[in-house]
Amino acid sequence: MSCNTNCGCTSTAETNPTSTTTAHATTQSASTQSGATYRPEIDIRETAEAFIVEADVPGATPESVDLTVDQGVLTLRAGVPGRSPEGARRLVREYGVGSYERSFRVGEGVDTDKIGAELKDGVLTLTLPKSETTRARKIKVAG
Amino acid sequence: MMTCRPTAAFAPTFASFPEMERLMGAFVSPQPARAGAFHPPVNVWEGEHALHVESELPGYTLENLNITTLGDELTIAGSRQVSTPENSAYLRRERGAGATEFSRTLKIGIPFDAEKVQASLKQGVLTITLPKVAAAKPRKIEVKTA
Repeated sequence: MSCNTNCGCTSTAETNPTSTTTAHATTQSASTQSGATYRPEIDIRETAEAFIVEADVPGATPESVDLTVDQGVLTLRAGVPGRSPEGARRLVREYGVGSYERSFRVGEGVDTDKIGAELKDGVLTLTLPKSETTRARKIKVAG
Repeated sequence: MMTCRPTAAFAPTFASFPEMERLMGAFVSPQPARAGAFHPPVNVWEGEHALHVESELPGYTLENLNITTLGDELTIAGSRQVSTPENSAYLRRERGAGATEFSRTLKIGIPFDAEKVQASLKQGVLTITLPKVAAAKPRKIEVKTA
């Protein structure tokens, strides 16, 4: 479950109490439209310069996204208003609509002052630049 | 896979849906998911004048979605570009199970006007409105003698 510790970007899912409750929120509170919190699915990839985190947050707007870094933990939150059509009765419900929340442990190798975020088509892309010391460097071979 | 989105978790509950909806007088039955395929979840509502179908499709644009109707079936299909940029390695991959395409068909048991179906995609949320037909008009069927 946890990715390579060297990546400096480990999901804190197991230790985060919020994420354990989300699974229940999904299956148990089937009647509530909002109020539940969901853990967005993510991809993480690494380049020479940065770690890129892409999170699926359909329904979220740039104004609703809240990103914080506190004591090495990057937390992404986004509130999504309910969107049931007025006066309509529900026939099928396969997913719930609510807030998103997920935290990541960010290692020393990330320059947290320069984290960038972009939201497009319901996908939030975070760019976590590597700090100078952890960037891939070409080493010249004398000879 | 670690996921809290209800894609897989909710699928089994569908076994009970057809019966429930027959009792409710309406019938919208999603086709069963193919194993391993990306199966975007849907929500369906019935309003006075229209049916509303909603699906979360983050990363998709209207250009790479194909929404079609055939008889009483509504099909949502799509493909997205998932290119791994050069010199980049995935450390974790959860989104859409890495799938690049999907197709999902819903059987709509309420007559709708296929000419007036409307779709919009906003912030990764697809909304399809299927206006109901005014009434199922009675039709005279001619019986030919052999």
